[in-house]
Amino acid sequence: MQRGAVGSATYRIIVRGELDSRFACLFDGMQMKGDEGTTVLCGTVIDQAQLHGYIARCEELGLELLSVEQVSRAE
Amino acid sequence: MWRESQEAERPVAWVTLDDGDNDPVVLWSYVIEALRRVFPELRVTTSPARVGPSRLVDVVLPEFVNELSALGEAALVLDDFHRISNATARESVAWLIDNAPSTFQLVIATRSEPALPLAAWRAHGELLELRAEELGFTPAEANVLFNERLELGLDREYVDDLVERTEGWPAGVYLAALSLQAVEDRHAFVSTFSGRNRHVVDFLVDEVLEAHDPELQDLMLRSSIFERMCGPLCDAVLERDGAAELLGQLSRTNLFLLPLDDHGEWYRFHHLFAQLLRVELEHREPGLATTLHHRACAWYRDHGSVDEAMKHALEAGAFGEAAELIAGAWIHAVNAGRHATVQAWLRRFPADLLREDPLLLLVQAWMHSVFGDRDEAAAKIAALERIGNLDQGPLPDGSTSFAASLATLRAAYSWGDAGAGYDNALLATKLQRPESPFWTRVCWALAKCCYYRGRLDEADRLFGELAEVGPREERWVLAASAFAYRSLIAGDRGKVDEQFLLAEEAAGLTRDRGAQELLGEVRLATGASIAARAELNHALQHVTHGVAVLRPLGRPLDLANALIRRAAVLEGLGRRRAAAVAIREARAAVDSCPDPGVLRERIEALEQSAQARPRRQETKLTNRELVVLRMLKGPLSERDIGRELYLSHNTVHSHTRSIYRKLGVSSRAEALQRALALGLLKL
Repeated sequence: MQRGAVGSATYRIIVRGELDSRFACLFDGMQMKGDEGTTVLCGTVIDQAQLHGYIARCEELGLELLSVEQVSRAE
Repeated sequence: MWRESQEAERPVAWVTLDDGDNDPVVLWSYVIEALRRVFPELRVTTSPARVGPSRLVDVVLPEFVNELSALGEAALVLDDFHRISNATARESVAWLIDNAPSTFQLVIATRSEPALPLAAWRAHGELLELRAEELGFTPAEANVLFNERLELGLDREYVDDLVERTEGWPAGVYLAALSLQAVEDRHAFVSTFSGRNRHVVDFLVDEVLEAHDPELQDLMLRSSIFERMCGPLCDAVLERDGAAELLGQLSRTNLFLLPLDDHGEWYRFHHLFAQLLRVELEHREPGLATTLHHRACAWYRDHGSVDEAMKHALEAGAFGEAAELIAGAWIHAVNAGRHATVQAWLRRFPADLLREDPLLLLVQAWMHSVFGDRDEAAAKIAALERIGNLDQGPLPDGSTSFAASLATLRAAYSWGDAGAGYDNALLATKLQRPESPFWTRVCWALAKCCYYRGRLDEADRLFGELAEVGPREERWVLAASAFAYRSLIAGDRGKVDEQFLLAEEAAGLTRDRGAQELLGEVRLATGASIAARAELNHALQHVTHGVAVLRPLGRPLDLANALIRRAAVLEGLGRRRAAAVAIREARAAVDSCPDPGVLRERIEALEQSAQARPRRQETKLTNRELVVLRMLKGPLSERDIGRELYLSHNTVHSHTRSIYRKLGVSSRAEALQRALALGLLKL
């Protein structure tokens, strides 16, 4: 397995539209804040499977993904 | 609306998929059932549950496609296809598309692009794609929804605003429509809605809920924890009554509550809507969801749906309870061919529990064995034994104890060790009770180990008894297999007539059910009985097929037995090179068995007879071939030899091939060497 596919890392996910912070329960452990017409989710994901779960959840909610970015990786 | 318009033109079968359908056997059972609802005459004799996941595409699907061509125009809709991630399930759908008659259309609705060979179908013009842009609402379509269907009486400019704000996203448009139904000043609502930065779903969920009275709000919020719901389930879990009526009422006004049947019993929320409700439930009543999941688990358990019960137990974090459930249910799922379902259940447990919980370890050991993962299975058994001090009491799956289950497992999967398999099978007959669901497995393992150890009388008697037991609907499989083994035993004893009759019985049982491809041992017995009557060419087809069926099952003794019989037929046919290859493969299979029982003597006998057979008759070359052979000794190419002998290049080439075949070699150098050794050429 590739190195990038294992281990935890901090990610920032940005979606279009402002969402109330009560939606944070769908993104276990991620910080959530509105920012001028977008919502920024930021936090640690355990592995890629969890990240893909979050992206699927965005899709379920009809959220338009603007960016998914790795901010830092735990060594 | 599409459905209504299409159903007028041709029958449409509709399957809405959920996570439970992510199992090829479950998927195809539902597909066949859905088509049978629109075509009662549809006949698929082999049930997917019987055939199991590995042979769906060979056995069930061809018959299904055949039946489809007889039906005429038809369409099948697979809704929510993104829930199908199981590779076998996806491949089976791809196979259907590639092989279905032109009168059949498959419609796939999915939220993510499916992993199917789309590019190839696109290139062949066999694919019509409706993507997000085509699926979005245009202002005109939204106008039909708002003003014709829902009769909201909304000005066109507001309709345009709503479409612009939601970007035509259908779920957003529906949500807006729902909110609007209860709002008095709709135009004010639309203006506020348009002027805000908040996300559509965030803005609308409050509004939609506010449109209903508190009782309905409560029902909607709390029942959002269900995948699907009916009145009695809601009543039990929400501790109330009369939910059935409320659901019916709600489904008439709320486009997000979808009926799952025609008689208003089961419903489900649109996924997006359920998700929004769950968020709101957690916001308003934190922690309540866990309590509700506990109650839902109990309700489903009492109503016999283990799958749903387990889902709720896991959602509630009640892992012990979930482990008990899977430990009771796995055997029934496996018996119904739902292997992938059990795998999916296991995947939902946390990793540390999978490593430590004795019940989960046992289920994993069985599942790895079923899939032929010998090392994985051994690792789980070892982990289980390391825990030690296991509960002596009966297990949820009907086994008498952990010890009984392990003996049964080791007997059923002896991995080529006939002696150990026999000992474990004997132990299992002492530990398990005859009424246990494992009893037939134990007897089966015992009979086969007897057979491989050469205890033919005992094996014959046990197979005879087995044909009489087992669940009624599955009895024919046991009977067919038992007849097949008894036929092989009769053959080993030289009773050719009995062998033939028993093989006929076995083949007849599978033929009646269109399942000729299902049991490798039946093809093997048929082949062996035909070979005993010296019709070797005909026999070869059957034994070759038997090998092909048995090979993927990963049972070394069965495969070695089949390979030996195939090698013997090839040898009998005088196809020396093919026979030699087959004998080598059979030898490798026998050597891979820690204790191959009587198979070791069989392969040795075969090897000896192959070596002892005289070669003279075969190596006799024609005069013309001898001339060509002598020329081959020189430096000339085939083409030049042709010129020398006034023959075409093709003729020389076919003589050369014939020489190689008769000498049993594959190159010019080998041919010369062999010819020298046989005295056909002189130095």
